[in-house]
Amino acid sequence: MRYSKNWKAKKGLIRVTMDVDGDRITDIHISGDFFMFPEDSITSLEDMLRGTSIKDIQEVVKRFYDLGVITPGVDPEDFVQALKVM
Amino acid sequence: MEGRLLLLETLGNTRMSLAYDEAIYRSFQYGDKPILRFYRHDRSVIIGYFQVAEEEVDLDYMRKNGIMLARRYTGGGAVYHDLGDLNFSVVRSSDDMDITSMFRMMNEAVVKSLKIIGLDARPGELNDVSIPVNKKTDIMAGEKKIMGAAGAMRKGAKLWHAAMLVHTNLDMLSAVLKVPDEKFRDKIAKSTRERVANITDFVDVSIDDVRDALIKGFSETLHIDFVEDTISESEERMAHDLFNRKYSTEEWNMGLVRKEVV
Repeated sequence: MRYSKNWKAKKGLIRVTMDVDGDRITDIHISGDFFMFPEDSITSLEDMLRGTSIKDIQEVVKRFYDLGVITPGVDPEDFVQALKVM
Repeated sequence: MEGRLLLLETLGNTRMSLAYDEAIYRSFQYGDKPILRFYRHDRSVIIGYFQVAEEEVDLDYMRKNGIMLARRYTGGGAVYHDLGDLNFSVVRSSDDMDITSMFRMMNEAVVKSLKIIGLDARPGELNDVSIPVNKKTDIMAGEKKIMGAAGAMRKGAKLWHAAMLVHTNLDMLSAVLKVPDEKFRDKIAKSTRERVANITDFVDVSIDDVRDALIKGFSETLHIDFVEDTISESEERMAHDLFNRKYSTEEWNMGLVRKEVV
């Protein structure tokens, strides 16, 4: 099943398109008008989410931020909310 | 400290202009002379690094109106540029990874610059500068956005670039963003239109006046004497490489690839 969600953070909109099979994330694309440093870490977040269970989203986002990623005006919780597509 | 003032624009080729912008940032080494670059773009929509063109802008409307599409290497939202918009970039050494402090300092420099041309502006959100509007004459909005900015950082260097609305076609600016349903087009365009303003709505100045004020304001705020310079051979080479491999490709500009290519 394909799901889409737009989540408005304090500074920025996060758009998520996610393919889910059972509770597994089979594919994911995240876009939007936020800032993220380093920029290419967005692909790491997508890679980390691909293949995991939708129940583990919060944990994956935490591990992602532990890599030292900075998102001014957007909190880890914003990504968690954006990724709760169903 | 001496800095480099670059008046480097490629009118008619917004994608090449963005390749130059990335090249001066990527080539920059800690301790190099800081750079202040000014440039304009013909009618273009520039989407942010994390955006997908089809999700953000009305590609049909753009085609019909001869508006170019380009994607920049910094985050943030889609913007509309034309020759009434003045773009400028600052590249300088950095000892930290604090992007918020950079936005704050650059906003300060912009506010100081605008005072020189008699404009009372204030920093809006993180990366915006707005004009407080007299509420007696305009009750619907407390402030109008006149500038938006974005930034990039890596160890040793930071880049900040901004777009200042001097006499941009704001109706066009308001119309290019994608609308979920055709019947909302006018309403959404109207609400965008109400939130933005040109500098010339407030003071009678030319783009050159604004540029001169910014050179002065940035020099004073950053304590840098910006002296006109030209792009180096290696910067030029990198810009062309970036253009050929990235900025000239549809995959990049549509927002379909993110992997770095150079």
